[in-house]
Amino acid sequence: MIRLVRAEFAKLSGSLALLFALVVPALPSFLVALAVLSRGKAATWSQMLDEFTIPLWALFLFPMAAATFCVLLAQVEHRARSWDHLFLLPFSRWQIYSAKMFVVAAALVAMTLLVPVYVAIAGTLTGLATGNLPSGSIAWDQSLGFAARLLGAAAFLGVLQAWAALRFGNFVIPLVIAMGGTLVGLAVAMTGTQDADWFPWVLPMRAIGQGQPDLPVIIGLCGGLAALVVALFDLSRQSRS
Amino acid sequence: MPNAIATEGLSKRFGDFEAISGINLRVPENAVYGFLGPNGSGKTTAMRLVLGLLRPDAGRIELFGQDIEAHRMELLLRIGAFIESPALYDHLSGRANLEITCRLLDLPRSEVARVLDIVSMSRDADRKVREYSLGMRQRTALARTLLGEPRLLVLDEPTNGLDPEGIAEMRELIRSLPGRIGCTVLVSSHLLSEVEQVADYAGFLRKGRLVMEGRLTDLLAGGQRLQVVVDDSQRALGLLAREGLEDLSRDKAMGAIELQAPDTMPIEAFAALINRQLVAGGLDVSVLQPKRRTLETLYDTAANSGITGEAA
Repeated sequence: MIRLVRAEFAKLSGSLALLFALVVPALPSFLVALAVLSRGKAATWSQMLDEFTIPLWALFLFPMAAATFCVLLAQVEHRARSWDHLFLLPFSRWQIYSAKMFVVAAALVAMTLLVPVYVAIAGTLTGLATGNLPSGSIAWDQSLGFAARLLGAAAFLGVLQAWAALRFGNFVIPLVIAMGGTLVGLAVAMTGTQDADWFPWVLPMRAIGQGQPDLPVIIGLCGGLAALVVALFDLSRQSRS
Repeated sequence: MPNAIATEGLSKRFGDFEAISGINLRVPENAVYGFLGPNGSGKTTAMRLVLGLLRPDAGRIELFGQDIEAHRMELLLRIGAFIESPALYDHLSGRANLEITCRLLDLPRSEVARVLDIVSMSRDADRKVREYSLGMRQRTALARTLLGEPRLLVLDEPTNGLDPEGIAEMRELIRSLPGRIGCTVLVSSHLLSEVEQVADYAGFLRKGRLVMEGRLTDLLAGGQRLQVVVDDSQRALGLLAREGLEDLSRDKAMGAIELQAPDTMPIEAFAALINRQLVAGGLDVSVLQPKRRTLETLYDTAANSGITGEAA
């Protein structure tokens, strides 16, 4: 299994998926930089990170980034038509797919952790350039806590996206799922309804929302685990019929 | 000779379509076996079944005497295969592609250099695969199948899309493999003349059925044809018909008569006999040309006569 995971990481070298994972977490930092440049007065790190960046990441960027990364990762195999080659290696199919899922999880964790780092760099640089250095200090422990809660709650949607991307050679299908899910998430945020709290694309937002309840994290983790078992079963079975 | 591959009553359906119908394949060890058939005859499906990539609806598959279902993991360590296309990662170099498989098989990295050398790809191994020609891709994919010194190679249409030079190179490579690394090669193709030049054994697949199988020398032995050109072919046909011989030539307008030599008589003796008869009939014979039986004529015969059993 370790060999499979290491091979999966080796495949990412020079791939679009890796480039994407490194670049996309920087998007909020561009917005932060623009905000610092245009406001003309210093904001606090807490405003930048906790009130702007992390909600934006949780609500919109993370679901889309997760979907796109899963698609790019799966397309490495789909485009090369290399599934048969993988299945001819002395590994069980569930192990092959588990290694892919592990890489998805690792990438989503890394992307989410990169977000505050990029924001800190962008905020500091633009602050130094304009003389409006953000005030206060960065609460790294709080940011890590947010990231952990967000990732736990997002496990469900991450598995669903990876499942769709690995199952379908056509990348449109997982992207449509992502767009649909994110749209529902945005609608829930805009209407303030409590009716869709279980919805996978709503869970990350709820997990970092007011009061930071544990239930969305628990639902996300349990849903993710259940979806993982079903996905591995389905992917392994489907590819041999 | 023990078999590298043996199947019994192997069948596979996709919905209402019967892709493979009860085939009994015998691929002897340390030989090149040509798996022949037109596009859509079921070659790829049969190979995928043999490799355990698909689950058969009925039948049994043994590789090296072991059931593929029961010993798949163990057997896969002894198999190298490429199915349908050279599945390589375009964004990586040829060497990196091989190193990934090496890592997965827990092999030393020196294996990469060894197999690159076999397929003559050492010089271009560090270029990105996206810059490769189709021939280079095919050779790199073949190199990957050789990692770990497999005992069985399953190659699905390895000459697909190659130019004549590439086909000749691939042919030489495949022909050399059993002697060079001591493995069995199952190679599929719809190019009968190509397989004829590399294979020791051949099996013909048609509409999912194995219509003929056996040692190539046996399949091609006997039943040779004789091409005859005379000054009056109509009169010659009359003379020959009295002897119970008929013209088998495909293109009657060409004027050449094609006769089937009896299995019991050497072709030279048959030619002499026909010559005597025609000359005795007052005809001038300008050409007497023995025509060797080819896989093409054999396949035609098998397909047209609707043979459904196995000729071993």
